[in-house]
Amino acid sequence: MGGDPLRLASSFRDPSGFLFSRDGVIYRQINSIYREDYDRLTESGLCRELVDAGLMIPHEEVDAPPADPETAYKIIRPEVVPFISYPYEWCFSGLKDAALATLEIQRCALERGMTLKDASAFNIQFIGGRPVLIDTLSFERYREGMPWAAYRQFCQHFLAPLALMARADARLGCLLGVYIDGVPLDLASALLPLRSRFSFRLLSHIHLHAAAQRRGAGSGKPVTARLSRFRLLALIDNLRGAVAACSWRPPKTAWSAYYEATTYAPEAFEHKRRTIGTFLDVLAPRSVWDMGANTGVFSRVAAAKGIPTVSLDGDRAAVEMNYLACRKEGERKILPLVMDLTNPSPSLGWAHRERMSLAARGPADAVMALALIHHVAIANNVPLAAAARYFRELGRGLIIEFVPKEDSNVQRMLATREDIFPDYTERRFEEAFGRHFTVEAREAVPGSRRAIYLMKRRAV
Amino acid sequence: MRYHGAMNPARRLSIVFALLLFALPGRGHAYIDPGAGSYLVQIVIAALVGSGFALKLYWKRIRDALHRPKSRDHDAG
Repeated sequence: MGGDPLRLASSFRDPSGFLFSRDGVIYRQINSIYREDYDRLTESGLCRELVDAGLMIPHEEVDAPPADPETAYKIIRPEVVPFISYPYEWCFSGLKDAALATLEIQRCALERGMTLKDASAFNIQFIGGRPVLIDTLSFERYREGMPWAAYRQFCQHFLAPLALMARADARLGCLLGVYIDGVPLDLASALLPLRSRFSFRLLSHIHLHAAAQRRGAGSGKPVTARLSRFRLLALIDNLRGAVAACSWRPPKTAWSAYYEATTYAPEAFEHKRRTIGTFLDVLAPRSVWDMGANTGVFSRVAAAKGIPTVSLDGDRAAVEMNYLACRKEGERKILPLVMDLTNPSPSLGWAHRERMSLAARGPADAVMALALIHHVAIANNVPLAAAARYFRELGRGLIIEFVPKEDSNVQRMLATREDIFPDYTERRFEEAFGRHFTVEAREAVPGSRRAIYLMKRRAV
Repeated sequence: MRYHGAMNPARRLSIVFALLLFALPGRGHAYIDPGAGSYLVQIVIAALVGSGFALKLYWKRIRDALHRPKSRDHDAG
């Protein structure tokens, strides 16, 4: 209670309040300016309804000292988000589910006389496998006749990237990392194929919207027309249809990779699973990051032990399949994210402090890097010493598989290029990682020359 | 007389400002720019899809009414 409050760098846009931490606990200060809306949120029953439906993060009002007493109305303590992820790291269906959740929240709000004043995808986090609104201050009183102030933001943060991923190229999801306030609609309009204009929803919400923005920006004329609540609900319903109509099927290559990962030599696969399980028991981590997780086959070993596991892979199709499988199985411990380990999420936003880099969100208690090191060291030319240094930054414990040059996968990589990796040997691997970790155990993978290591980070 | 009827610039500006305030929809504590074009386009879209939405709601009500007795039977069983 007594420590100095530290205002979170990502929480500055909305004057209604801000997040701060004190003694490692995250609080949200609600400012006096937001008093009326906050009281309405609780008194209208909207807060309870959304929390009960799993659409909004639960919080409790606490008697903690405010970070800024002059502006403070109340202090609340929201439930802890296990791992902060960003829209540019979500797979297609993750972003789609977040969009549908946002629209459902807006529908519920309108029925209780409130409205979402923002529709930022960054206000959504995945908790227990479901998209949840984490910004309790996103609501304001609905005034009859008012259009939706967050309509443009919704289109930029959700509909435009989803339409681009579904209709142009799934890799365009990365645009959300380039444009921090969502994909500009004129850019989306230019990148979408011509046939998207034959969809009424995309024609209106993206193409005409982009054109109207250009005109609106130039005219300087205020809009006087009103929008009834019924029509506003119709608009929300139409947006819901637009989002639901966006679909993306991962390419077949990913499916074959999936079967390869789950069907190769059953005994070897079982042995690998058992080894990982044993190593996890030794580390007893509270968080696992499975780097290069593919479709999350081994993330499930950690999840089955009840460990919150972030399942990271650079292949959007694999992450999509992982996410869909988690959703189908009701798997609540795994968070599948798109992350290219050779170019991980950087710090972004104002002063590079709004959105955290991957490393800034760590270290994890345990990092798993299974069948990954050859992709890093050979496909991406990263020296083993540099790889070891980065893994040290990411995790306190490490379960890592060494894949030797003799392995057929590495041979395939080297088939079309010169072997410039004389140092890529198991001995050099042990030396490089031994500088940062202590090797606790080594287990050979039967039927191959691969080995799985259990390592613990050395004290500095 | 002409001189008399002319409004001083400050007064003229304040009237324009007052008119603007009435014309602009209230914004509460809005801290993001909703965009004039975005307001306009959502009003037009909402007008176009409003009747379809009404039909959808009526159809849902009819469907719910038709299905309700069945679910009661099921609950009772």
